Amino acid sequence: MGIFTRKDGSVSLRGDEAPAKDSSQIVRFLFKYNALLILVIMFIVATLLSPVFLSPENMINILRQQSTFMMVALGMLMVMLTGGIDLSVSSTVAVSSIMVAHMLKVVGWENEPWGLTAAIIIAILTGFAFGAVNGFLVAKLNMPAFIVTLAMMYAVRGVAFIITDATTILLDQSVPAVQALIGFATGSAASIPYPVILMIVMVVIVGLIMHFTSFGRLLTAVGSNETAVQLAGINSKKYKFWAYAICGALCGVAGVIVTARSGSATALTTAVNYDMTTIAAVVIGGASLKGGEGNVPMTVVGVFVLAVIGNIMNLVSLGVYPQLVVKALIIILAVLLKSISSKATNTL
Amino acid sequence: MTDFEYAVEMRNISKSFDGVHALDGVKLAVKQGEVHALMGENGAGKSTLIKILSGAYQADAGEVFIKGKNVEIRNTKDGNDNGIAVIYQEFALVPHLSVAENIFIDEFGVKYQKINWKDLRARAREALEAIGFGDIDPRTPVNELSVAYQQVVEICKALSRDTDILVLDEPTAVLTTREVEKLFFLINGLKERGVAVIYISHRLEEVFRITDRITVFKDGKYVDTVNTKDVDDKKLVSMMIGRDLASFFPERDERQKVGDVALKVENIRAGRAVRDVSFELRQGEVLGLSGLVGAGRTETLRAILGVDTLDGGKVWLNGKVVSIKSAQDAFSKGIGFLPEDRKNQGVLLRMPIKYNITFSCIQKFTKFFGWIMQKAETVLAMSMRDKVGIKTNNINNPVSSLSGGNQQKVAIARILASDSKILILDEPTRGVDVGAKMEIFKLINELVYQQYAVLMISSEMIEIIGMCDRAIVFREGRTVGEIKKDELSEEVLIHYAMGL
Repeated sequence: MGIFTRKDGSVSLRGDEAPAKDSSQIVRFLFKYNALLILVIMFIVATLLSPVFLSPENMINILRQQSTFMMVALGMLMVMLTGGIDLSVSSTVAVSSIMVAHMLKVVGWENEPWGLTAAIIIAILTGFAFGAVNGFLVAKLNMPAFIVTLAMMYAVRGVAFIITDATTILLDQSVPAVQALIGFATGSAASIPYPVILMIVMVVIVGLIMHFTSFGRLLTAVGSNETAVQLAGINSKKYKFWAYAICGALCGVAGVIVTARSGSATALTTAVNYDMTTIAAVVIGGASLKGGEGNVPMTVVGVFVLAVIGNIMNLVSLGVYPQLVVKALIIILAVLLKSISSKATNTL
Repeated sequence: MTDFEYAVEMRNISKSFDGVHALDGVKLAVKQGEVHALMGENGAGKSTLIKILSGAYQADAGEVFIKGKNVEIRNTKDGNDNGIAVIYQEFALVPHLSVAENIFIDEFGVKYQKINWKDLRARAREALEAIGFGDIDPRTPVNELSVAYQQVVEICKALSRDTDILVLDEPTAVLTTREVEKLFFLINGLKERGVAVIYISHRLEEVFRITDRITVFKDGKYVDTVNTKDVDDKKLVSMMIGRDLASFFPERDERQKVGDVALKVENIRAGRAVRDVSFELRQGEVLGLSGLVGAGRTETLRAILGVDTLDGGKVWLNGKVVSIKSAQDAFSKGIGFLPEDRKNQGVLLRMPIKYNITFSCIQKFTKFFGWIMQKAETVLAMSMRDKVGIKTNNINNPVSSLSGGNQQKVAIARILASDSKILILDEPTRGVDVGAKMEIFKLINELVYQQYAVLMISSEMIEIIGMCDRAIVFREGRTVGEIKKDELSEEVLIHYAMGL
């Protein structure tokens, strides 16, 4: 270190060397936002491999598929910014999905005029409640996020099984309320599906919150260095709590869309891969498991990186199992590029 | 006895990073059985030289002689093989393994064998006894030892590898006074065994007490090597900074007025460390808290700030009795706190300078739903940058891009931005170089002139003497003396601190 600590001082060591800046800056940018580069390359590769890829139908299809993942990934980003992790999102999505179906079908709200709205609210509140439990245990009781949410992953999935008694709730599609619900998943405005519109709205809202409000700022600060934030007179626990609670609520929204898409809900197969997929997407987007790093635009990129890989491999009919390996390679590549770039910026 | 003059001699060492000279033809020569201080401001090149000696860096030019023999140290293994060991502030110990395992950790993994626990422990005990620490049980897991004993284990581990050149990098930074005594006892023992000790420390008092000779670097260049007994602290500081001590502490503005009592604590008690503490802090003054490390100063702050609970006593803020329940509470009552551990507690290293300055007072420029008015924020951050003199052109750069002194200024800027009028500064100049220290002192002077009340903890008596209007001395959890500016001297401070 030695000499580098004097960067500011009388001796100006760097910062005044304008030449060679352009190319190295581009390289640094690409390293830092490597997910963007990966996404662009995959778009090119996908276009070359399959003529179908760039067709509007396929694009809309990708967006539609990703809408639920995106919402959960936004919640996961908030949690990971605080330095935490939420392994219970799959279970929370599942239980919210089941709550909608349960309220409509089993409780019989499908025949009430307010039934659908109420069911959706209940589902989102359920997600929020489980998120709040996570937040309470992690923030207020200082328990490790990994353990807490791991336990909640089992508990919430268990609740889902208990509610459904391990059966599948099939919604009656002749009922107007159910038709309205499914109509939301299948319908579109100006050929953009409603779930995609909702997804865009959510991305924008969360993006604005994270980048332009004190909540987003302090959430990131807490993840960056919680002790410093506390000593500076800020209630860090509040921010951690709300990250988990909001994440839970976003899972609730995703759960409603899951049910709307399939017209049914089951504890066994609903949303089993949301945890790892969203964590992977957030990490590809440049977030750090230690917290304090990551943002909404790059998380969006991260989600689409995984989506495009899946899509193109389906288009060229690559088997499901090789797909897993390819996904893993892309995740490792993204994180590898990031660690190289942070090393490079540290030594420069 | 020996046919060489120096245990280690480094000649004409140069090292550049990207064309910038970190070391420019420096030399260092240490005799056997000598404790040799290596001094200089941060950035003077001490660490670089040590890394070259240990093999972590390669010199661009220059020669290294070990016991008179020219050697090439290409990597840290070469360094080890030549009997060089460096004890950094961060120990390289395995916390969950026992003392014995840690000392002989090199032996594991070299050859597959059944561990002879009895033999291992016996040898560990022998090694510990040899340096006078037979009271450490070789079976204890290292993480159950105090920091000082961990350091002893680290040194013992180095010695078990036939080290005859031991480098101690700021070894006392983590130790309490009593532990420092133990370390000095150990170092004296090593001298007798003929180990050459290179001692890096910023603490003048220690250097004068423990070392035989001193080599000073400045800006990557060799200044001089002197016998410790031939110099005093003023001479040494002037060698390090190239000017004398009188100019080290900036002049206070004479028009400064001491105002009302801002903070008063009376007979407060908290835990075992804070037994009976009383003092008054007035607006427009710097009150120093002095005392040996472990005398209860930091704990007193924790109690005042509500981090630890008060067991008794009263705290007044601006004339009113208050009860402060948490750091948040203290902050909302206008007490700004600068923690001593800058990197872990003071700043958010990875976040932009701007955010660091404003995050405590973000509500000042938020509208509905916490929407941040970015322009107002930037204006405030810029004005704070100028007020405290943070040297950066771009306040969107991360704090980690700044030097230690400037990072500290960011932390101070944050407190000022949130309108705290009472500033509690815990070791505000720790780990910053001399130039930055002076700037921080200037800033503190400017603040008291503006009627801030400043409470400053410092372990360096020179700072207390140079900066404070009054000093309160702590001993064993009690305030034992209050000394006015014109009576402040090292003798008086030591007198109170040690209870003479």
